[in-house]
Amino acid sequence: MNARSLLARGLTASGETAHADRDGLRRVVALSGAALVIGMMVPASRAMLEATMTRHMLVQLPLMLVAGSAMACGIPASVRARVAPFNAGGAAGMLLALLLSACVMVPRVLDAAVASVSADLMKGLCLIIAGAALQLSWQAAGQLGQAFAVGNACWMLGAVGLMLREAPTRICASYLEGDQQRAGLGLVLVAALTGGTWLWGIRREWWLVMPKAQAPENAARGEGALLG
Amino acid sequence: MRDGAWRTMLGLGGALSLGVAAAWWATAGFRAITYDGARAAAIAEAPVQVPDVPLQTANGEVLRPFAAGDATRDGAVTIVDFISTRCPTVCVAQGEVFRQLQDSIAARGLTGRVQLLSVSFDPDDDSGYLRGFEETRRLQAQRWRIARVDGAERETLLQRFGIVVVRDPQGGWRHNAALHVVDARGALVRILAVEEGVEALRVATVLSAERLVRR
Repeated sequence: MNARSLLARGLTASGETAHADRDGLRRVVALSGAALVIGMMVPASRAMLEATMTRHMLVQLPLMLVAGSAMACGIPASVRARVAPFNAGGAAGMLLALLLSACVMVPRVLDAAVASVSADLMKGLCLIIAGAALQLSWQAAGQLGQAFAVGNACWMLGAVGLMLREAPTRICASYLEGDQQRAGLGLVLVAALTGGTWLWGIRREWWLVMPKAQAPENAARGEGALLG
Repeated sequence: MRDGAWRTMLGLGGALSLGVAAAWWATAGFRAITYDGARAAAIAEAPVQVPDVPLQTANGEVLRPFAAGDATRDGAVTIVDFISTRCPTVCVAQGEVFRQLQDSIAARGLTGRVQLLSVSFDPDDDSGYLRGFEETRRLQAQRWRIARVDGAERETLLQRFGIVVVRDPQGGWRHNAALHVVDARGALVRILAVEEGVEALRVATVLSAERLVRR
């Protein structure tokens, strides 16, 4: 999640790099994303990545999300401009990303993905769309929107992780208990790491997320900064 | 400005619709979040015909329990479970449920109308292991049989019943245990959790009574 957010920031930020260079870089990143997806859908790597629940949930799913974000870097500015009005404040994109990434963590989806290629493709599509939606929305969301998305992702990952860890029985037909508990612990750690990294990233601007209530002029300025 | 708000709402609505559609797909139409739950729900709505595969018993007898109107079954309703004779965990629980069901079938005079069948999916389960299972569990052949399934038919049968078998690091097998009610015509009509033995017997009894009425 952090790698992705950094990627999204780095690539959409208007840096000192020349336009042509940036377009070239975007194309390379988008193609790498596509290559990553294809590489992961090759039968051998698919079998390897889905052999355990831990790899499935902690390696394959995040990589698909990253690949989706990377591919979205290739979306030309004209298309972005046309999409943006429907994605004011990145709200629609963030919502879509959260819903889709929650769906792929449903235990039935993991089992179905192991058993059938079509379900696996559907799962991959969900994650690619989620990753792309995040890439298109991250900047627009501003820190308040980002706080909302990161907070939601954290509790969702943490809750799923704890559920997997504490469940008295196997949740997925395809995976064993020990694997399930490792995956659960891994998700809790990812949740903590995601939240922690994000907080570290905003350590200098935390007050933007929490405007001071007792100073109306400050709050107003803070809000203006967020919306602008 | 108002035009902008309209587009934002449209975007949010689209995102929500797409998310709900994905959730519908993920939960098999909002029916279940686990594979087993979805499988039980699908079977309860639309029973499936079990393929008529031959099963081998410990003494070499071939059973065809899923043939529609098969003579060896006398039109009985069958409660099926899948086991490995050396599986130490869930199969023991299943075996205990089946032992109690065997007693209930005898006590309620359901012998010949409802029968139990344990199918071993373990390729290493030879006649000796099956016989050992029959003896330790005290199987009464007219009420409870154990048989194994081999080769390609094993895959066919497991797939139709929706059984997922996983090898564990100790060299044993793990699988999604359940009680499967198969009617007299070889259709899988209900899948119940292992602890729902009483309900499985009730369903089987009702089905067998329907059969009698139809005669």
